[in-house]
Amino acid sequence: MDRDPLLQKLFDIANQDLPGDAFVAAVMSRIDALRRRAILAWAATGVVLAIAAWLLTPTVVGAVDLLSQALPQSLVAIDEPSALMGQVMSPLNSIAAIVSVTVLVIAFAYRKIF
Amino acid sequence: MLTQDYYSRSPENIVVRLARNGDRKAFSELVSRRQAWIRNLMRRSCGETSLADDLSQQVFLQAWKTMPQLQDPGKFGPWLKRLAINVWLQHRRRNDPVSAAAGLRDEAVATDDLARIAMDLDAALATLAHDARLCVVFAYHEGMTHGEIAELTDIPVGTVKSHIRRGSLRLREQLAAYAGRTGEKQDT
Repeated sequence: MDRDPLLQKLFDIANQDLPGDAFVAAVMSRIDALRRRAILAWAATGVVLAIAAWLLTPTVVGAVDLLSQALPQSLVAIDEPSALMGQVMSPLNSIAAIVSVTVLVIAFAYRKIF
Repeated sequence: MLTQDYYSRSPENIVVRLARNGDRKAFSELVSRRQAWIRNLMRRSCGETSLADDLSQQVFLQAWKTMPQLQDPGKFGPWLKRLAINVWLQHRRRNDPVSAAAGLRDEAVATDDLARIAMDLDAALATLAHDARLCVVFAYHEGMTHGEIAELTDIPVGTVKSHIRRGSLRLREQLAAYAGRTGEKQDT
C-alpha cells in the first residue's frame, strides 16, 4: 500500500506515550464496579430462587404426586394384561405414552416448519 | 502472591494467561502496557480526548469480560485491536455522524510540539467523512492493508482504496506546513 511519507511521519509523531496511571486506575475501578454488580446480581438471583422454592415446594410436590398417579393410568382397559395383546399394547396404553408421543410429534412438526 | 514487579517483567503472553484466569493485577499490567496504543488509536479516530479515553476504557472493560474467550495468548494485540475497532464502530453507529463530526476539534491547549502536531492532525482528520477517516486512521495508525480494512469495516476494497487516496491528498494539503518541519525534526 502506498502511504504518504509525511502523513506517516505525522501519525508516528502524534502517537504519544501517554501517562497511564490515572487511566489504568479508572479502568480497574470500572472493572471492580462491574464485579460488585455481578456479585449483587447473583446474590439477588439466589435469594429470589430460594424464596420461590420455599413458596412453591408444597405446590410442586402436590403436582408431582398428582402426575405420578395420573400418568401410568391405562387408556383402554385390557381384560388380560398378561396376554400377548396386553403386552404389546402396554408401552402405549397410558396417559404418559400419549403425552410423550404428542410432544415428539409437536417437536418434529416444529423442526419441519421452522 | 505475585508482586507487581513480577508482572511488569513478565512476557506478555504469560501476563495474558494470568489475566485470562481472572488475575486482576495481571490485567492491570496489560492495561498499563497497551493503554497508550489504544488511546492514540481512539484519539485519531474520534479526535476528542475525553471521548477517546472513555471509549478506550470500554475497550478494556470488554477485554476483561471476554478474556476467557481468547484462545491464543500470543494474539492478544490483534485481538485487542479488533475489540477497539468494534467499540469505535458501535459508537459510530449509535451516534449521528454529522453531530459527532461537529465537536471533533479538541480545545485542549497544546503544551508542546508533539501535542500541537497531534491536535493539527486530529483537526485535519475531522474534515474527512467518517468512512474516509476510519480508513485513513487504520491505514496510517495501524498499518493495516486495504483488504484488512475492508474486512473489518465491511466497506468494499475499491472504496477503501479511494477513501485512503483522497483522504491522504486532503490531509496532505491541510498539513503541508509540516512538510519541511518534520524533515528538520528528523535530521536534528
